Amino acid sequence: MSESHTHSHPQGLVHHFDDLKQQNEAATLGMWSFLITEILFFGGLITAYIVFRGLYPEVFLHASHTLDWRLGGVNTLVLLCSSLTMAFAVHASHEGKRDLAFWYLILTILFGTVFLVVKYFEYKSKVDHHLIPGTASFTFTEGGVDAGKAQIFFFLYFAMTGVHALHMVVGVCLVGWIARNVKKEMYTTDYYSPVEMTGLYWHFVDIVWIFLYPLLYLIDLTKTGGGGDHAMVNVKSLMKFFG
Amino acid sequence: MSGTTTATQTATASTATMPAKHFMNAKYGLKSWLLTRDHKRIAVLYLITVTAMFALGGIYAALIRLELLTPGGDFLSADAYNKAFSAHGIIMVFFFLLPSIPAIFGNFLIPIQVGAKDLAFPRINLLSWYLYVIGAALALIAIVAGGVDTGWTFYPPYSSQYSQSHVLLAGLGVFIAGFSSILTGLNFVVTIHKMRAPGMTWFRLPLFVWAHYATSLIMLLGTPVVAITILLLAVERVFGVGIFDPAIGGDPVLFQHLFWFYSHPAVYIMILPAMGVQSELVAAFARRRVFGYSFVAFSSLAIAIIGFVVWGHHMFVSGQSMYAGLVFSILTMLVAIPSAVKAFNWAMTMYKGSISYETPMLYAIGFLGLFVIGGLTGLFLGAMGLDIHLHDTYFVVAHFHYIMVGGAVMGFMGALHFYWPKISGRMYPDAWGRLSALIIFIGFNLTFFPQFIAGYLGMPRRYYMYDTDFHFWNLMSSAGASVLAVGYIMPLFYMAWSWIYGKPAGPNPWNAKGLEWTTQSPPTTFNFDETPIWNEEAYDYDPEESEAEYEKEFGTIN
Amino acid sequence: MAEAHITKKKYWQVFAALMILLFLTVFVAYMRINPWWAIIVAMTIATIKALLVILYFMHVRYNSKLTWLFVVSGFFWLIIMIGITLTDYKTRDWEAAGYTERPTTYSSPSQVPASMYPQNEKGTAGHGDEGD
Repeated sequence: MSESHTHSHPQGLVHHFDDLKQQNEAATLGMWSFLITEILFFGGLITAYIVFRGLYPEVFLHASHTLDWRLGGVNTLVLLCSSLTMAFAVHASHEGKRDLAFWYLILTILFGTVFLVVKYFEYKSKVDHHLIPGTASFTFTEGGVDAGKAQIFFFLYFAMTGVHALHMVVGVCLVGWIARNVKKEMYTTDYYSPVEMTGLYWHFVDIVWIFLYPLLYLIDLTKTGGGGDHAMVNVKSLMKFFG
Repeated sequence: MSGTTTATQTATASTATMPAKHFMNAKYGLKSWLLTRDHKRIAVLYLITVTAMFALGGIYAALIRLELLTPGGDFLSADAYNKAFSAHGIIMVFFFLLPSIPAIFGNFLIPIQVGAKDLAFPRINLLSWYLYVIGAALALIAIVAGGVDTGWTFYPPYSSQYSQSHVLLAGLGVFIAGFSSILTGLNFVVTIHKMRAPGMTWFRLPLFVWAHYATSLIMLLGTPVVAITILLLAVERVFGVGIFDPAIGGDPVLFQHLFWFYSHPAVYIMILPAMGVQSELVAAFARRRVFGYSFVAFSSLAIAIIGFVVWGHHMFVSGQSMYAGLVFSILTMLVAIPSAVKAFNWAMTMYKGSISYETPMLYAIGFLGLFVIGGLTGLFLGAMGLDIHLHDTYFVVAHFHYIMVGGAVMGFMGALHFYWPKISGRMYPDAWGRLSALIIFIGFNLTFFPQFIAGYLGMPRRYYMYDTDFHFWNLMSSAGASVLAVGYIMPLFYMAWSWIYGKPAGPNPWNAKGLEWTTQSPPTTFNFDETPIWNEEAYDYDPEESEAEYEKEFGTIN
Repeated sequence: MAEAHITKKKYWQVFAALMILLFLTVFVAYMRINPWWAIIVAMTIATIKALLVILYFMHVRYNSKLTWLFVVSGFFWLIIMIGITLTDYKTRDWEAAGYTERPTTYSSPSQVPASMYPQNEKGTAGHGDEGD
């Protein structure tokens, strides 16, 4: 046992670490190790996207028009805001302002939920317009491109945004758990690495979206300005949802 | 820790008694094992489960060899044979070879070797064992429910559209076991970086730790790619649509790219830890510092890095661009360099060493020879032109078994025999150990060397019938397999016997160097009573001391 | 960690930069430039945004060299995977691989047909509302 054990035991220190500094460093390195696995996890999807966009640019061009760049943009905005509040939550934890940290975390959850709700309406409009790959009713005629290859675009769209949305759900739950712990005063100004690690995860999920948004919504935004028919339904139903 | 103390430890080894308190009797009851966070207990849990999977994979190997005893399809149907070799491959690769040395011996030893109380994240370590068990259970359910017939590589479009077998369950098992592997790697990386004891600098670390560091990097960087690939394959299978389906413009070769981006480096996940073990064994039984320590250390990293850019050599005949094939072929030659550095350095370590032939050393010598054969035949296959002829023949099968069994399993057996006294606190009967090592070596070569010849002559892999021209070679191979089986079963008995009746080993039965040999055997729950301070170089073997040992045993030199 | 701390003002500055970049990337996409360039611009902006988040929100700028190394190696490996996979797709002999038609690939901006980025609606109001 190290010397720190003979003195008072700092809150949050696990027995097999010498001190909180070592423990925090280990947590940071561990989290980054996890995040590089996440980079490569999404990397498989991004590789597939690049390969198929390279092979079928016209198909991707037309298929991409069914996505509304405005909804994607709103979601990007919302996620960047959530990253800011998350960073503030870590900042407040460091300064020992528990209440402030708690409310920043709640704000982060709110932004995250808005993202997911918008995503839900985007998905719903794809269902309404028979754009779910693999279903018998799948129809895509725009631009006269091959419907089979269009299915590849939508497969990738759902795979990439779906895996990302799953990470968002996990993230919202994690932030909720951390907010609860903050409320229960489990962290101190010396020990708040769970808040910080959750922050790292949250920012990472944000970064993934920073790349997904231009890849899926923006780079083919050439013909109609995006959105079009499908998108309008979206915006209206969204308006209704938010009152 | 210095030379004199180890000498006295040897003297007392014969009269050593079991320590009163150690990690295994610290607590009793099933719950204390299933909820443990002690890295050593988790290692023992892994040892039990991984050995069970090895036995199961071995049974499927026996079925394959039994079928191939005769040229006709006398024993298994074509379908049953497909399922047998798929089960053998999936179990052996994902549930035995990948976790074997890292999850058992890495788990047990790395914290002790770096001087830490535990791995950095003990709960995550336990979680990784549970994920492994869940993954293995799913794969077993798939096999019991009717089997998988895609081979361990799950190539679409067969696996996604045509196979009538339980691809989904097996794929899910592999997916989950992959996360177990990621978590193990993550734990090792953080532990090696952040939890080294005072004085334990990077260049004082045992090469076992270096090898595991390189292995962990591959686990972290490669495994997520195969996870997402299998996920995409599963979606394609369930919904009948996906990016690997050529009917709608998808590309099955993309699956192979993503699959081998992980699965080629995964070969190094299997062999690098065995190389780490090899360094420990050679140094301990030749009683010399590993020749060119830093070269061996960095060659592990070089293998891990170069290993990531050679995956296309599995795809020379897949329809991949021949220019890409050219690049992959050249890069494949590069990976031979760090491997050869290791092989030469082990040989140089033994040269003029004071070698003693205990069981672990027999495995180490076996490893060296078999690994060189396996590695060199890998260069044959990496040469694009020659691979056209050898692709999908038994030459490939023989090659990777020389690496996987001749390399990784030899390393596993070597580690098991070397560290058994540390894990159990007791010695196994060395004579039995030597006998089994010899039987395994003979059985192995008898099994797999004929496959090189049969493959070179053109016998394709993965068929349940073959031309009568190949009968002789297959007969030899099947005979060898039964010898090999005897060699693998023997340790089960004498190890189990030694667990209860073995002579207490004492802290350092091999008179070896390293932090792990300064603790009691078995170690206590937190390994050290106080944080150790390490001030020795790695493998600080003293030539004069070993000379004196030699003289004591065999009389004066010259 | 604790020793490297950023002020709240810095966070706001980074956030403002992110907002400007978000506006910029949408604006460039709206300009309907040649997609060959559009990808490069969009990806450059996305990379800068990601860098800002990594360096400031995720504190990597104030972290140890080791964290830098890990972050860089993660992205480096991603580039290895994408890059080497593309060597196959960029040089593959599609006919020999059994494909009836050669997939369209554009390796320079001049190869991209004008149909990929029609300019005729340039300047008209409310692009998004016109529908298909």
